[in-house]
Amino acid sequence: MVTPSAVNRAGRVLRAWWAEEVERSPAVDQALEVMFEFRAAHQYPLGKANMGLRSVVQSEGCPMEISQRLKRAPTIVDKLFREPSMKLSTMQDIGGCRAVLESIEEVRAVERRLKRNRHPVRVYDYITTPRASGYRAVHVIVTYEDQGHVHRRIEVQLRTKTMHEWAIAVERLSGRIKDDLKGSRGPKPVLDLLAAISKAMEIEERGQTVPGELLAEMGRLRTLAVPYMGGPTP
Amino acid sequence: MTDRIKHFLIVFDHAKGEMAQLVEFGEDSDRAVAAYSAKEKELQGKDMVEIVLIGSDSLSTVKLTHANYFDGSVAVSKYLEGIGTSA
Repeated sequence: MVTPSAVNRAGRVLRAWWAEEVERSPAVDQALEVMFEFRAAHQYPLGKANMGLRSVVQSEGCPMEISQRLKRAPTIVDKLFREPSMKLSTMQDIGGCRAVLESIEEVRAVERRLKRNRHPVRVYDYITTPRASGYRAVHVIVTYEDQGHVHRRIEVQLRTKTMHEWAIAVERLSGRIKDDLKGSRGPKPVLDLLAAISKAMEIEERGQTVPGELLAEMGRLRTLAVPYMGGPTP
Repeated sequence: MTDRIKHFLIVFDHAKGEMAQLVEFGEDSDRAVAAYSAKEKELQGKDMVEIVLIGSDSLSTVKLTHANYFDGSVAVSKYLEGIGTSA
């Protein structure tokens, strides 16, 4: 099993490679192998977190729309590049679980029970304070032991269907135009439109009426954003 | 503990806007993770191709939780029309 210092060393090599400060070399290949091994160590605790989340969601009587994913290698390296002070060994979302729930009340109930069952490392409440991009959800970071009894951090994402709908559309568009729109990277007109849409969906989710000014603003932003949303030519 | 989770390796081609490959590994988590890393190495540098390993109780749940890789598997708000779908 790789040690945290070896993982962090690999992270530094991969960051320099991504920044094009160093060429692809055997040292980069070795760092990639360490990163793959480190990621693989999250699969077992991720499975445990998934089962734990299923149990919590079931106890709250909510529908079971839950899955897990291991973070993609390019996304791990890109995150290291974007956040220069981050150590690979402490990245919190290498393993992630997601539950899609019906309502904000369900999200809060699952969040409460989850926090009671397993003391979280951190909680990010993007419902009270959405990200600048418009992304809304609650992220609860918990730890589970891997097969070598090392505690691994796992990110649990709790979303309503409305929040999920927005996030899925943004993921699709991000893939097409090769930008991380959820992380506020991309053409400004597109980012502004997505943030305005998120606001409108939030208002409707709370049972209120979207003001005419916001509808008009979305119309204006959509016109500006359209030229950027086609993506690369096939 | 993980024996009820099934694993799915997805290769999505953003240039074509469609899934290029879907491999099911059943409950064999170790084999799924090894295949994930191998596929990422094989397709390294192909910017428009996204590879992801997802685990869930069924493929139909994956279609909901990771609907971005599947067509028409979640409802789309009127405000998102033309944004999450092919232009």
